[in-house]
Amino acid sequence: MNTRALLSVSALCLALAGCATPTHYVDMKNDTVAVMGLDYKDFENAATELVNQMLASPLMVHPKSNQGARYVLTVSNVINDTAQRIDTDQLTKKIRISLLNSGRFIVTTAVGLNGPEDAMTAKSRQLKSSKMINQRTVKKDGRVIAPDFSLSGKIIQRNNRVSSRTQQVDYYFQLTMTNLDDGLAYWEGEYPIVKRGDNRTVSW
Amino acid sequence: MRRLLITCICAAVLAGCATPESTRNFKLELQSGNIPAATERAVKESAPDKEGQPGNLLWALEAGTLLRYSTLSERSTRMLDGAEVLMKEDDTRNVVASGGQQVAAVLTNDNVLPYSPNVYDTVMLNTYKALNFWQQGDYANARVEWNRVDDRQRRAAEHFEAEIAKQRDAVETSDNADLVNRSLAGSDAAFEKAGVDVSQWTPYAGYINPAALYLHGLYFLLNSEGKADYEKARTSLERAFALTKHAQVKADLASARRPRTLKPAVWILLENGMAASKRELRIDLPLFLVTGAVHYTGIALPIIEDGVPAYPHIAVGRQQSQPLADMDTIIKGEFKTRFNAILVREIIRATAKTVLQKQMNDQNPWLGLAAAVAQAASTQADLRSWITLPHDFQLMQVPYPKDNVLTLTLPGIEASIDVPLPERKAPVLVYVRALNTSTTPSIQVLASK
Repeated sequence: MNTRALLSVSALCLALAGCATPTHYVDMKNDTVAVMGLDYKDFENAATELVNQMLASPLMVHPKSNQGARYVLTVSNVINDTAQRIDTDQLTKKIRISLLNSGRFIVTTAVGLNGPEDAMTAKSRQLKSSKMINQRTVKKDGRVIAPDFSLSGKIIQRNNRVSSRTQQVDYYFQLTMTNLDDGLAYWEGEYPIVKRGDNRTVSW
Repeated sequence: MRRLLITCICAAVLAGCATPESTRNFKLELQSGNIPAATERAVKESAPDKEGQPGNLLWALEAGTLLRYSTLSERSTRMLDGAEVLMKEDDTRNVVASGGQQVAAVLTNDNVLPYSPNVYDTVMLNTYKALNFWQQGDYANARVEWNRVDDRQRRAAEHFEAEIAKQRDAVETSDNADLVNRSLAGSDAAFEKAGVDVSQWTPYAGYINPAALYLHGLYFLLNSEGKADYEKARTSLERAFALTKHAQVKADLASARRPRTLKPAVWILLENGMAASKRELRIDLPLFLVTGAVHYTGIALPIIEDGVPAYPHIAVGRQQSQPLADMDTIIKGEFKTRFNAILVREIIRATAKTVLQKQMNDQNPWLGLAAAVAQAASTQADLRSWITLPHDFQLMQVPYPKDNVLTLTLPGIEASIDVPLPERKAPVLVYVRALNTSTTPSIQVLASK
């Protein structure tokens, strides 16, 4: 068998066998790999942008902020209206962390749309009847703070064909801050993400 | 060289002739109503790895459907998730990388290739997953799956547009384009002679599955989380009504336009019988291909046969379900569009084999005879399809029973079936899957949010 034939056969074998990707860490600051679905970069960018918009709004400042007062926030419902199986906490957790770090908001975990996020606030009050517990350490009623604002939103996906080979997927991260005192939306923000890629298969 | 060639042909023939005994047994188990055995077989044949990811798409689809039938929703979803991964691999499969299989398919038949899903397979896969999540009360994931169903249906029309163009190119780029074109021209007469009327296979407009479209609309009507969801429901129900003209779809469309008019009631959907399947049709090619130097030539094509409904309808009191959508129409319509590609591919394959046979015969008549035997044995149609899909879908709606018990009757079955409904009187979907008369129908109650 001559060299050319040998090389051809070797190349064919390599093509057929494929190459497995070794496990490695990703440099998250310089990661330019894009997927048609939603990944950590999308949530990071959406959360950062939306928090910046929110904090830039004068209505999102507590009137007594100079005395250290903060708004109490509850996260109600963020609907995932995409074709991606994602956990909306990937978005809301980042937003909560940024808002908490901003010094303007505190998030309550004692009140939620479908019950408290952390049931221990209510549960710990039930220790009042326990002989085992030092009653002076049991948390008192009437001390849990009701929320001032509710954060709700939606993540929407729209798919469109660009050409026979390319499809475009638009994602919209939409959030609303409702003042629970009067039911008015004091702030609303939207962050779009647009991706174009392979049209041979579905975007998820 | 000649020995090598003969060995290759024989090996390829044997590979393409692998008898699907498991498929035959699977069908027998279904016919006799032995669902546990059929489910076990399908799960095993789906070849799951250690993580449970199936390796065989078609068997994963069968397994996912039967696990659903037994109300093992979580396992069914896991299996169908695995099937969806395989579908994605099929979409993006590199033709160069699968070159060995492609060559083997040209030498033998399409059975040596992995099962390539139909568009209706992909739509039904996500529909079943959406129904699984709905049944489990996991509305967040059900929404995701319904969005996927919607996107699958959107992609259907453009997929077939591309498919038709691809078929045209396949003929033009064939090595024996002239021979192939002449054979294609003569094929209509051959079909007519065989009693096959291809013109009867007409899809729904836009290759839409009206049942999946209706269920998409119904889901967002009954589980709406706001104005945008009612809009989704309205759009889907409008399109579903245009395709089905079903009175209940019209009533649901009116509710989507005025959601406040929606009252507690029971929607009953019957997924009925077993889908259209394929049989083999062998056709001798036009005579110009056959010369004195050729011992055999012919093609084997898959032909669609009607599916079998389990029951003519389902009833509550005197009220009977009405046809909503015909899965047979969906399958035949899509098959018709693919049929030209199958025909072209088969003619190209037969032409290549015949030309090779003649060349071998010219060198040595014994070699020519051996090639003819190999050609005859390897000429087999690809009859694979998702067997446990239904023949048709039927729909009806009845008022919410005062005692929270729905009494269903099926023609030919004396005993009625009592279905306990949720205490809370709210819109509810009762989903009935009847495979055949040998098995008790599977009934699931899908409560609204």
